[in-house]
Amino acid sequence: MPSRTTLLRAWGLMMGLTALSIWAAVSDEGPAPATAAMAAGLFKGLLILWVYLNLGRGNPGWKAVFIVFLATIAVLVLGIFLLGPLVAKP
Amino acid sequence: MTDHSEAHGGWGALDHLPGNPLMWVLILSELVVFGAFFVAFSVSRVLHPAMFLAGQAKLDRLAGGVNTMLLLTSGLAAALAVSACAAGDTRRCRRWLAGAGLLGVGFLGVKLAEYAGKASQGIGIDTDTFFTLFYLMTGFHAAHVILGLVILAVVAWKPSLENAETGAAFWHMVDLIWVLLYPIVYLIR
Repeated sequence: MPSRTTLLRAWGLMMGLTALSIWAAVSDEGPAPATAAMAAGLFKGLLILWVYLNLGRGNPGWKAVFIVFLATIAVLVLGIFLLGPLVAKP
Repeated sequence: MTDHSEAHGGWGALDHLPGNPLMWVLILSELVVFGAFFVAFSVSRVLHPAMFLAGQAKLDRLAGGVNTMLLLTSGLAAALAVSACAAGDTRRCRRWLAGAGLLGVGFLGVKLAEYAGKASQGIGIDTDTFFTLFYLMTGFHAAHVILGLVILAVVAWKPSLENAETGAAFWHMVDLIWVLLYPIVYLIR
């Protein structure tokens, strides 16, 4: 089990990242805040798996599955957001 | 993860995950379903950029952020409940589970207020493609929060370590989906 300190640190980090991504999104629109918001979401997702679910000490195969899955979603969403308009233009 | 959770046997790779392996079959299936939702939402945004920009402008990013914080804190409480169960402290385990559940109810309260606000503006699931996807994704997620609350209540009733790990795993999955859904639907524009 992760210690209480480890859990609290992860929680604090995720709360901070949430506040930062809100601030970035409210301040501006476009590729930079979108990338920051998605990267923060991906990092929070990994922290939930690694610390809250304690998969960090788990099987390497499962770690790889979850990293690849979350990274694929993040890359697809961001890729479509950034490159989609170029492809969709007539 | 504990030796206890690895003692199931017969589930192959799923035996290496905390809690009941059947719950992980559900969790992995849900992640794939939501992953498909996220990609579909992103493709629709490219096809209808003006509609999505207008729709997102009507969303309350702060309410979404508050909900993210509520779920992250609830996830912390669920993780602390598992630690308490592992330490054999049933009373503390129940207390943390109750805390996790209350924060989950808070999440649903904010979500209901958001839906009520949209309804008062005449916005519904059939308004346009953006709001159809918005209601489908957030509504499906909210249904998982409700199911998670039921699971947490069952775990609080029978707080064994395996039950706590299983219930917390589902609750963390709900949390994980929201931390991806929030930037995709509310923030990226």
